[in-house]
Amino acid sequence: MTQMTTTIRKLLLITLLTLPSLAWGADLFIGDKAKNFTLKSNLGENLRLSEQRGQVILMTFWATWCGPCTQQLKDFETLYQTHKEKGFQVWAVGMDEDPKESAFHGQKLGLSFPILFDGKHEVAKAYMVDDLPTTVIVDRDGEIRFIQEDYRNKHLDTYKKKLNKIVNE
Amino acid sequence: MKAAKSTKKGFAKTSSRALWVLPFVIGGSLWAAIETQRYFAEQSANESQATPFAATEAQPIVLAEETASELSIEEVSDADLVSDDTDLSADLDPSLEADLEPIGEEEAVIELDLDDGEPSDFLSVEEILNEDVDAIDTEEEQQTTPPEEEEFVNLNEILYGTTDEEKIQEIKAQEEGIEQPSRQSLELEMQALKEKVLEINRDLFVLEEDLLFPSSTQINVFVSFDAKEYFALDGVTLKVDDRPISNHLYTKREVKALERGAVQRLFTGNLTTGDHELVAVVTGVGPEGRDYRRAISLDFEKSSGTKYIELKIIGDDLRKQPIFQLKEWD
Repeated sequence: MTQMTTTIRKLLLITLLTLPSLAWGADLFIGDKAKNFTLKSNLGENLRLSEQRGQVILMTFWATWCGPCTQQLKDFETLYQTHKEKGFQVWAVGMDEDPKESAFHGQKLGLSFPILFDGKHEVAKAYMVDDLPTTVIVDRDGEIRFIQEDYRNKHLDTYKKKLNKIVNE
Repeated sequence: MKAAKSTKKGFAKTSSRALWVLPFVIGGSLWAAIETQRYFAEQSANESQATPFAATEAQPIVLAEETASELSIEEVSDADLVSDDTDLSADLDPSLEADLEPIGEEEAVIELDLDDGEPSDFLSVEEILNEDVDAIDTEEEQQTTPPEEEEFVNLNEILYGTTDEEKIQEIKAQEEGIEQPSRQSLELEMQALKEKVLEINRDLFVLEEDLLFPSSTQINVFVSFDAKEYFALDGVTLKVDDRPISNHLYTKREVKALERGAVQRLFTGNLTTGDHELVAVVTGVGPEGRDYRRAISLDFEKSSGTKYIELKIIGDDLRKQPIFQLKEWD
C-alpha cells in the first residue's frame, strides 16, 4: 500500500511536470485572427488594433535591453517608409515597465512609427511572446500572416518579400 | 506463500515502472495529435493556393490528310507552274483519251465581241466603281424567287412570328414589361431575407444576454460625455467592492462618438442582491493641459431586477472644469 501511494505521488508529479508540454498546442498560428487590444502610445493617443482594419500592421514586441531589437527597429523604419503609402503601419510594442524608457529609446533611434506601451505584458501574454524580438504581421482582414521570433540580418529579405506580397494584395 | 509474495512484488514493480512511462505517453500523443492537425491545416492551405489546373501531357497534333495535302500546295515553286506553251495533253493518260469528249474548234474558243451592241457578261472597272448599290437591279435580279426557293429566312419571323414592324414593337414592349417585375421581385426577396437575418441576429443577441446576464443579477454601467472644452477623456477604470471589473482606454474615434452624444455601455456583469459600492476612476487631460485623475464612488443597493448606472462627465462653465457624477437609473 505504501509503495502504491508513493507511486501515485510520483505519477502526479510527473503529470504536473509534463503539463507545460501540453501548452504547446496553445501556440499562435498563421491564419488565426489577431487578438484585439488597446494600448497607450508615444503619440499621445490610444491605439486599438481592431480600428486598423484595412491596414497591414507589423507588430514587433521589443525591449530596450534587447540587442537585436534595436537593429530590427532601424530596418523596420526603412520598410515603413517604403510601404506606408499603401496602408502599412508598424507598431513597436515596448515591454519595458517604464514607458518613458521605451519612448526615449524610440526617439533616439529616430523612429517615425508609434511605440506602444505594454508594461504589464498583458498583450505579450495574449500573443504568447516567449522571445524578444517577436514580430507578427496582420493583414487587412485582421488575420495573422507571419510570425517570427528573434532577428538576424538574413530575416530582412524575408520581411521584404512577405510585405511585398501582403501589402500589394 | 513466499513465492506468491515475490510474484506480487515483481508485478508491483513492473506496474509501477509502467506507470512512470504513462504520462510521457499521454503527453507525447497529445502533442503528436496537435502537430498532425496543424500539419494537415497547413497542407490544405497550400493546396488551395496551388494552381487549379494540373499540367496535362501535350497531345500530339495530328494533321488530317486533307490539310496535309493543302499544305503541300505551298511547296509548289514557280518552276512547276504550267506555262501557256506547255502541251497539257502530254501528261494525260492515253487510256483516258477515249473517255474525253471531243471538243470542237468552235466550242473551244470563246470569243468576246464587245462591239456587237449586246450587253456583255463582264463589267469594266469604271462601271463597277460607278455602280449604284441601291439602284434597281437588272431584269433577272428583279424577278423574285418563290418562297420555297429562298435561301434566307427573316429573323423577325422566327422570333416574333411576324414581319410587321408595329406588331414586333408591341411584342418587344410586352417582353420588357415581363422582365422588370421578376428582377424587382428578386431584389425585394433579398431585402426581406437580409431583414430577417438581422432580426434573428438581434434575437440571438438578446437571448445570449439573458442567458449570460439574467435580469435578476444584471448590472450595467454607461458613460456619457459632455465636457469637450474642459476635458480630454483617456480612460475609465471601474471597481465594485474594491474588485476591478473594467478597464477601458478610449481611442480618438470613441471620444469623437461620445462628444457627438453617444452613450457607451462600459460594463455588463452580474452582481448579487444587496448593498455594493461602485468606484469609477477617470483619467484624461484637464484644462491647461494638465493630467487629470479623478475617482468617484456610489453606494447602491442591488435588488432583483437589472441595475443601470451612468457615469456622467459634464463641463462646468463657471469653474471651467469637468464634473464627474455617478447616477442610478430608475
